[in-house]
Amino acid sequence: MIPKRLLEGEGTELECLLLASGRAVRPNARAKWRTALLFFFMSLGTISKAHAVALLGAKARAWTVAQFLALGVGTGVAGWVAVHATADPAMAVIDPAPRRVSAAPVPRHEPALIALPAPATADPVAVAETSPPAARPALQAPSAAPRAKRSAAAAAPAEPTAAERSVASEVEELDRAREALGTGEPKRAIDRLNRYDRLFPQGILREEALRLRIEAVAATGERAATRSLAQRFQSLYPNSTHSERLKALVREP
Amino acid sequence: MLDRLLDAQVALPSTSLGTFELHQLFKETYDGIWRLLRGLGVPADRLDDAAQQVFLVYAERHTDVVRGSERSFLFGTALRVAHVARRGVFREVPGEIDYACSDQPGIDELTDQKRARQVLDHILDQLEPELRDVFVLYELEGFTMPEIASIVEIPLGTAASRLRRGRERFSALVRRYSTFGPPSLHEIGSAR
Repeated sequence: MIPKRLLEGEGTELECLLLASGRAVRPNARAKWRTALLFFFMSLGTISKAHAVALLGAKARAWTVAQFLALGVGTGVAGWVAVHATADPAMAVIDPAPRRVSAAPVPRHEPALIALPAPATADPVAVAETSPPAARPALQAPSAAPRAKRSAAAAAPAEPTAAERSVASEVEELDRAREALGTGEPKRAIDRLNRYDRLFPQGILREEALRLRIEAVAATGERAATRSLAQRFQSLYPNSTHSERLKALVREP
Repeated sequence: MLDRLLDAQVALPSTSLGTFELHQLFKETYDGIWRLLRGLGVPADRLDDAAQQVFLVYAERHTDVVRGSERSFLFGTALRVAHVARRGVFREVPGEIDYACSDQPGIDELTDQKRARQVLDHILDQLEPELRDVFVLYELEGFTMPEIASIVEIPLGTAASRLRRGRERFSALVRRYSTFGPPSLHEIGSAR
């Protein structure tokens, strides 16, 4: 027989009070973001565990954001600005402003993201190891930024940085596309993916976006277009973990 | 078409999750992992690192994890990370908590969540580790007994037995607290 939980009426008032207090605790948001970024970058194969471990030491705390910028997260800022400049996401589609902003190579907000520590305190091993792979040249962060602005960013309050939110914005955009696909609305999913492409021309999740597009197009029944996109995917991401899935999708009668 | 599409995805042999699945997995499990680590006695100043370690282990090995058992893998990893972290604490700071001169609050003050958590932490610290694992997973994290058996890697009967003993011990400690206030260091030693 499965026992009822103490919090479901089995416990005394004091037991429930204590356990409820234990359930109510919440993790630190900044630490959560940091872990999310490390987790995704490792899963995407952008950095190895050795790189991640180098980022975990107490002395390396201030490094974390800078490391990710070095990996190229900063290039997604244009999209972030576009998303956050418009309160209503639906308006972002109508208003051409986001398109203009996303086309700008260096957005006005970008310097605030630079949190690179002074070279004297840098860990040369960590810097060398966390250089982005050659296959992702578009993800390089700008290297020249005023030192004063770096310091200002380093002293920022403990909230998710713009770079972290940029990745989150990408994920949210693709979430919406995926939801549309999940509710049987592939055309709406494609619209969302078009929006993603506009907002994040150098997005870090473009592989995922293309995979979703292929699935959305397949769901509309456009087999020739599906095959064409799948070939494009294969040429762009030959080692992707999605390759087999997409091959199976194309093979479907 | 969509149904077939989804079916095709399920039937594929790949064990790796896509970015979205990873995102969902992270969203759904991070808070629970962090809370579990806390409930298992990882010190506050190591909690974030410990949670990070759990996810990095998963990220490194996610291709080996069988589809559908991602949560079990993550929480099982969290258990092991917590055990290591706890051992580190006990080695480095023996007798860190001085119950004998504790200024723990009375019952009336427990409406303050923070103080209630302090008392809960002290009570959980007095549970034997194997009882604490099962107790926290069941009572705080809401896992089912089969899930706990899978996470802790013990037979279902053993999990049920540990839960029963953990609950008895927890209730006894809470009763003692409500009657006598915080236990003394001597009492804790003799209870173990």
